[in-house]
Amino acid sequence: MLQAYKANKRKISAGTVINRVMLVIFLIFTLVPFYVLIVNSFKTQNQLLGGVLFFSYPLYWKNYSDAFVKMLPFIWNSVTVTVVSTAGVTFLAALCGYAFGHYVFRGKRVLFAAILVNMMIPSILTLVPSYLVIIRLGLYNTQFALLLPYLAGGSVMGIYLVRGFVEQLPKTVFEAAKIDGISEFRCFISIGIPLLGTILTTVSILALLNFWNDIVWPMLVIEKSALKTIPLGLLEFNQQQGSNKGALFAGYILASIPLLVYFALNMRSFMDSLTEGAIK
Amino acid sequence: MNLKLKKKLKGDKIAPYLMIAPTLILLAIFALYPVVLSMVKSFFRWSGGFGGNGINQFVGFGNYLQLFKDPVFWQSWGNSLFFMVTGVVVNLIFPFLCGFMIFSVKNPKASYRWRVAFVVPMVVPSMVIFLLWQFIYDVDIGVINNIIRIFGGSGVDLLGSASSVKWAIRFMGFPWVGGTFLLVYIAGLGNIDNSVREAARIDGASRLRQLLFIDIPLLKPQFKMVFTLSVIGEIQDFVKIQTITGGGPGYYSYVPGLYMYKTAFDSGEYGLASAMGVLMMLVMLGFTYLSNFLFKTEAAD
Repeated sequence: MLQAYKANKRKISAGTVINRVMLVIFLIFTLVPFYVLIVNSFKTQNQLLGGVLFFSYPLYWKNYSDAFVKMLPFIWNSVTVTVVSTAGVTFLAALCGYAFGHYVFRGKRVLFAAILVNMMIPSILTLVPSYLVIIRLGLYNTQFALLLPYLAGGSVMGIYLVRGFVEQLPKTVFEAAKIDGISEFRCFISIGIPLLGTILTTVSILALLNFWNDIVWPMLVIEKSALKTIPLGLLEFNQQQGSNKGALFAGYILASIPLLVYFALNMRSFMDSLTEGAIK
Repeated sequence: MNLKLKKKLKGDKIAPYLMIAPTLILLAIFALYPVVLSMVKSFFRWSGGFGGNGINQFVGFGNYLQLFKDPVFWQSWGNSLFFMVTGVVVNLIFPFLCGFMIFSVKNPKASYRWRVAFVVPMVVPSMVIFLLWQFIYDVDIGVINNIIRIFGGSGVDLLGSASSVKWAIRFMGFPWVGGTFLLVYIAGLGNIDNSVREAARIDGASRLRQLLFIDIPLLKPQFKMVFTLSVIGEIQDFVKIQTITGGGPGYYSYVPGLYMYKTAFDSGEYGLASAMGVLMMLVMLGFTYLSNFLFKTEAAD
């Protein structure tokens, strides 16, 4: 019986072949732009003018050192803004979601609705007035112009996820601690947060991807080159580097590396979080 | 003692409010207030100043009327409609096909590896993707023109000509499979009870028939979600177009979001731009209702 099953398993059907072939074709086409990117990042402008489809030798590594000097400040800005706002959003979402899931208090439903309604407001509607609010508060061209709105808008989805999670936790866990006389906030920090581990990973990864990739908002509120994040930096580099595309491509690759490394190190939780974020 | 304990268990009365306050204050300033402002100011001619600075004049539906009479505004919506329709078609078909094939890979390890392979491109900054495609289309040294020249053709300016620019923009990201929609479909396929498929298989239904009569009908909620998110995404996504064509040539790739952006930040007509934002929101709401109607599910979900 088992033998028959194994034999059957080894037999490759026509369907399986078609399936794999199609997947390979999909993957090849998906990766074409990245192939173009890598190939041309090793070219001088003259090599590039000679053709962009294949490697040409010798490989011109200097593009990478040129691009590194140019891109490093932008990468650093993106990393700091993303790390700080992701940490902030995760903390706020935990705090707020915990409050909504754990406590019974007056006005709870109204307040929760006031937060949740933000999920339904398209960001395009608030783009113009939010910009004017930033101007009005004197935050234009500062990192707070990025951080504060990220903290506000980024936590909404997280609050929703955390609340759902907290509501399913058994209350008894917290009651024991409260009888021992621990303060509410301590209770949240030392019992709540550890229990929220998995959901907070999801919240932070989704937030991180959003902030890292954001283009529109930084474009509106950051003009100073020293504060620019990666997307803006790439645009600036693109405008300056018309005569040497190779270095530009090297810059694109360097700009992609931080998140790729993060992804490689946290693949499982990344995949799970993306799936969860996609279906919620 | 007993009373004190009860009070303790109920929790400090103000604790939840303190926990919510920071988020709520931030949201009020950077999200809720801008929404109200946007709606109110869509009825004003407004140069963006607060507290009586600059122009701030009530015009009733003036901004809206002006937009309805504006041919560029209509053209931008026409273009947007093109992107919505083609975007919905593409997203309903390609990621689904790919997701179905990954789901059909029986070995869980192999299936996981395929999923990772298609998710990796998501991790690359979207600006890199935009600029790469701009290069692929480049008239002088782009990839497509390199290939055309190898076969003896002459260069074509796909982004610069009115007849091809919209298709060229749509073609960006081909074959459109790497991304969240793929994960939505795979998750949906995983939720379908295997006994349904098993029963069909015993009845002698081929894999294709199973796909047509079991998987596709049962994935209705996923298709609905992809439909809605595609439309909302296409209406709002103007950065891609701003980056690679700036709306040109002429207004052939102009979209409402880009028009709004330019009206506000190039022309300084913030009231008019607010009216555009409000109209875009209304269209999005309309499409959300339409999707409820198109993908009616018997059971509430």
